[in-house]
Amino acid sequence: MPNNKKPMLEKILDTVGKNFSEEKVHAAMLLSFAESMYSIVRRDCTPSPFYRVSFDKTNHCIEMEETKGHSKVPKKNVLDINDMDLLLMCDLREIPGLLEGETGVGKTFGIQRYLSTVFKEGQYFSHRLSANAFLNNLFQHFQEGKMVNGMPVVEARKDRIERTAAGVIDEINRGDPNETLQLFDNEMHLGGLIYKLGIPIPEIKSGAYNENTGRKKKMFLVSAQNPSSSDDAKFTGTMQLDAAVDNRLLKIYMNNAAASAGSTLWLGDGKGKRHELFLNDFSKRTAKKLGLDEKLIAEDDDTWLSTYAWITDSSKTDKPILYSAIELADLMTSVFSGNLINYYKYEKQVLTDWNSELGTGIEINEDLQETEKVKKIHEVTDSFKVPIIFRDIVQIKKVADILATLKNIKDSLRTKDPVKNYVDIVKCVTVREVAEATALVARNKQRANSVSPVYGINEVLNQYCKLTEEYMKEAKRLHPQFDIYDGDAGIKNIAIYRAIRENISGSRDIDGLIKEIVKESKKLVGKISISEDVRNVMIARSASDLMTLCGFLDQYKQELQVYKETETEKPVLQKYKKPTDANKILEAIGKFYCEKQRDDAITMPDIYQHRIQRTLGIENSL
Amino acid sequence: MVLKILKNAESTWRETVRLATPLDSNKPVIIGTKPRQGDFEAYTDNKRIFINVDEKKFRKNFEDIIIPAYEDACHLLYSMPSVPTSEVFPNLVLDNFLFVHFHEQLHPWLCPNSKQDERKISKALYDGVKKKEPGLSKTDILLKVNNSKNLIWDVVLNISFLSKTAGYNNDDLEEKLGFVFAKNKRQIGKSPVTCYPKGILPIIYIISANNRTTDIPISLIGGMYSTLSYNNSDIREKALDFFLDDLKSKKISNSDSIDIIKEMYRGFISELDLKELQKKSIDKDDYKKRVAKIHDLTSPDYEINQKYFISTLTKIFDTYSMRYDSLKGFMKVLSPYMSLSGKQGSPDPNSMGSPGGSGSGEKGEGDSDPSGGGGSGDDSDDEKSQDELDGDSMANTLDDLLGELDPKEADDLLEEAANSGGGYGMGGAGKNLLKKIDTLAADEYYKRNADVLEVRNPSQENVSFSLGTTKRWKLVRTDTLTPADVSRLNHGPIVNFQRSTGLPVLIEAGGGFFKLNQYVLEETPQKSYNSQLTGIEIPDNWVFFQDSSGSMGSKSYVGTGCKFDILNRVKYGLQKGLYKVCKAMKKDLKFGVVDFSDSTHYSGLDSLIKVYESRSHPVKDVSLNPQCGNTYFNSGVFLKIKKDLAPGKSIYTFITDGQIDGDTSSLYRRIDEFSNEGNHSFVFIDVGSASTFGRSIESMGKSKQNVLYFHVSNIKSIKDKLGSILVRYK
Repeated sequence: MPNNKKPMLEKILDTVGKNFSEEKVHAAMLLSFAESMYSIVRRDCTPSPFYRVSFDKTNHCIEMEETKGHSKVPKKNVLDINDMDLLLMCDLREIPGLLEGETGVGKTFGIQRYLSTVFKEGQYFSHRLSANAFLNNLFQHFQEGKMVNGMPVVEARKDRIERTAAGVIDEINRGDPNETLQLFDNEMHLGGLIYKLGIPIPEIKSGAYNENTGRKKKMFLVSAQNPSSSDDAKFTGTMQLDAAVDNRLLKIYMNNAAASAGSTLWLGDGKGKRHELFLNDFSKRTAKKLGLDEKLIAEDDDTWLSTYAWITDSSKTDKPILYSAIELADLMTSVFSGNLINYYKYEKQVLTDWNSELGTGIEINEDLQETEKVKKIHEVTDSFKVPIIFRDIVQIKKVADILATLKNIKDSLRTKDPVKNYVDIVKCVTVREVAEATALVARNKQRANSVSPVYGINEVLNQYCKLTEEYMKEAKRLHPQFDIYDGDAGIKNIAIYRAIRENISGSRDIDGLIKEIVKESKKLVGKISISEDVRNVMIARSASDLMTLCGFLDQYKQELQVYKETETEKPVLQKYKKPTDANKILEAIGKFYCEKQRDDAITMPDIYQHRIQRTLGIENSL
Repeated sequence: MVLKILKNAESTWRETVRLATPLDSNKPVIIGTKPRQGDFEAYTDNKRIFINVDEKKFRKNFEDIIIPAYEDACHLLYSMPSVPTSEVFPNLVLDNFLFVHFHEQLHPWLCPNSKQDERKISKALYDGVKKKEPGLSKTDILLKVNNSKNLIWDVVLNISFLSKTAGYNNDDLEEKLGFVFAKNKRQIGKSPVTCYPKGILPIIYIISANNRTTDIPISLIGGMYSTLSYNNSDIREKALDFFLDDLKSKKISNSDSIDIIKEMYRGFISELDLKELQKKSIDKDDYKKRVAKIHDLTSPDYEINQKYFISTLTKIFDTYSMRYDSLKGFMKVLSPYMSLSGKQGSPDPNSMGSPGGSGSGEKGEGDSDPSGGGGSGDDSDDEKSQDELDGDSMANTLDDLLGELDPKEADDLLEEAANSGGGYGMGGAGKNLLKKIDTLAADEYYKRNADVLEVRNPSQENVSFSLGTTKRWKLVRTDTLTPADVSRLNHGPIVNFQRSTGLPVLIEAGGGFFKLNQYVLEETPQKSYNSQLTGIEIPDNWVFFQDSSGSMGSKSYVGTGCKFDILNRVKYGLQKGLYKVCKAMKKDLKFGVVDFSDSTHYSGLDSLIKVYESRSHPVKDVSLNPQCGNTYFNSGVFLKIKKDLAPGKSIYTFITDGQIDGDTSSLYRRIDEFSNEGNHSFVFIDVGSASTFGRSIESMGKSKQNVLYFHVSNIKSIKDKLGSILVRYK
């Protein structure tokens, strides 16, 4: 392939050769992509501020302010989120976005500016849905209709399927939910075939550029709609989104920024071809960041899509989620899952059942009462249009990731050496992002004019950090203060580590380990108090998780007792003799669980599959 | 200045709450300047906090009483070298108002934190009083529980507040307050205020004790708070002296007061199981040894003991298995000093949510004392009289106890309370309260024990019912399209529609053009008819005339089986039946009772649903308080009734067991007149021997369909034979 027809990534690889660092090049291209996009879009599209989020590390609480189109005075340690931030993050994290707001606030304008900057014409589609189902074809861009012998025949436009990176759908709430869901899943069902939409992602493997890996960057879909008639009587032609569609979107209420932007709107410069300007600017910035000659690596229009797919491949901005973040997300889910009193009863019952199975002696006798705290939590959950479902849990993870990514990008760009800073920055999802994400997702699930979920989220966050800290103090940890970046912090994590360490110094068998975990759980349950309902729910859930782990250990006792990491080694429980080896034993138990889950998935009790992984904090990577 | 400080306190409180108890971050605080009485009041309805302060009076009380007592050692409370004189007042007032905010905010979080908690506390107090004073009647125990419960809630709350602001038991309120003080750069002179001072809690109790506006229990508890507060012996002694002086004025010597306070401390653990204490690492002997040192205010390890007690008691209050027994033990000590006549402590914050939507306790006892001040801030309470509020509060206590006591004890309590009326030589408020208990208990007794009388109309009517709807497609529009238009159509739905309905949607129109037909689904309801029992047609008014002459029974009639007792079972059975029907049919009626004996009592008509659900209502006062005299009837009551009637149908149920004296010809005329108007129906029941007047009504009934006469041998027969007749017309 002639050099000028190669994508920028390949050109960089050719230029840098063995010194190619994927991490560094990605950081440079990602940061340049973001900078160039903002630089071009903001020439004639003023920001529409959405949210200001901040986290108080000392007091462990978040603030989420819906800025409603008003730009705010700069403040340290806050993350301001505007329309372009959201669009960029939805693109990077592959989440369909939906801007909802009144006519004229600039929803479609902003989206069009983003798409026409990042892509050239034909690389994205724009579709406005009407109220007539026959005229509404979501896949119009990818289909061709003909009349053959008086019968309509529809064919797929394959030329467009792999060359369309994005799309904007106006008034998506008028669309057929089934078709919308197909589109969000990046699929088109036609004539008995399923067409996968999106752009192939290239990769660098063994120092070589590989264009076709079989992986695809999901099509970036973004929608806009007026408020539904049931939320706002002014827009009577629209209806509420189907719940299944609604739950797949990240819905953002877009307020009117006109008052804040004022006559600045007159002074914008929308001249020139945006995408060309963007590509030039992007090439310049990338070259500068990597210290390369711009001419050698300049991106070409024809190759841009594969470069774009590589930059925005969501796996590149995936980041680990700390144990405490997983635990908090889990507790947030339980607290906001519905009726707290019934939920508590369920966890109590789990403890009772494990007690009768294993004789743990751990039971909670009292029910949760309908206190004012409980009522306030119910006020939030009752405002949800749809209760917390699997997809919300996934959304919280995605949004947490978005927030972490946005923070990483913005924080890096504020430094003198953004690429180095971005590469070095701690990239993980902490309790901060989980709390902020829960607030955004919860807001997304609420009916209009509902009570803010932030107070309830702060209550959970506050209680969680307090309980973890209290537990860390009792465990006599060297630094008992809760640090959001502490990978070992977490109620159950500490309990399990302590139990394993005690067992290493004690009997070093599974029965001994179970006894130690039971001991830790008893301490936890002892913290149940009349006046702390939210905390009680956390304790009950954590204790039930720990007892479920005991149940698992007990069920597979014989096998675990002799479980070896490799054939030639001693069983794990004999091999590790120092308390500092506790994490290795924990890892081995995790590995054993994953093996069992794979081998015995059909017979493995659901309760293990629900609870063991989160309790051990392991990903099932087998 | 005081108001400015109060607003500053609110802002500091809100900042702290945002960090420490985020769920209350947006709890409204409503500040006013006109307390109903005294210089200050604060109360909550659990959703909002109300604070009213009379600046002038408040300032005077503070300057005359608190400043002289606190001035010398103020710097020690704030742990700083000195506090300029000018800074003493604003800082103590600020921290005092902070306490008030937290006190009201934390009520629904700490005590009582739910209806169940409220009930269990009432039961614990009941058990405590009963154990200490076994000879006391159940009604007196009930009175003492009602009068003391709010005070006891405050004890739990205030001790927990001391623990929270001192950072004990892993609580972070102290830390958050310190953070907010630092953030706001709070200073006294040049020294930063780093923590909440020790010794604020007793301030408002001191003012009350000094002004002799407290009862013995409040002063005893104020004394106990003094021993739990302050990090300096001088000020601790001064504070305690206020309470000892007040108690002395109430004939309790200083040494006795100290002994009682020690006994109060011991009371907290006296009923606790040793094993439960051990679970929380509390050593009973150690606790008692520390109690023995309470009087030694200058002891160098006094603060160590203070910390121990605050932390231990908070732990006990926070543990399900100890909280209630601990309060039972505490109540045992306070019981002999607890008044039968007046409620003590802050009002019932949780009573808002109780069944029947009743309001809370009394308002306007507001001296500088949260335990004496305020009432609920619910708007609905503004419409309630003090009597109604008292009734509601008492009804809540009764309700709580009935829910917690074993069924036998609950029935005994109801019977005794209902029949307690004339037997007590108590005056003033106590007498009123007893009268209320009578009625409340009798009402509850019959609500529980009367069998529902089914209210049905046996006639059949034709009613329509829906068979569902029929649907059909209607062509609403046809468009002509070009091939280019056709290629943009959504062909999937078109093909599906054509297949499933057989209707043409897209058709070739010739000349290269196409036609697109659009349809909408139209629905038409389909109805059918059936004959069925339609149930009772609810009247618009129901007036129950009851004979409560001596022959019907005595004033202590509840549960005795006398005629008046059975009459009430019938009356409540009917009320229950009608209430059920009204709820089911979402229709209400006006209901009233005319009680006749020596005189004719009538208190107007009101919604049957409201009357039935209310714990205390004027209709019930007439209905449940027999006169036990002669059998006179003043027919003038019909004129009053007529004014109160709602438009529509009215039913009059008249039950008597003997000859009616008085102007019976006038009564006859009234019945005749009313029954001539088509919408009025009379059901007249003679019990026992048939009366002359009854016979005349019987004759009237022969010519009028809407006058029914029945004669039964005893009241029980009414229930058995005439249950559904009592509210029938035509």
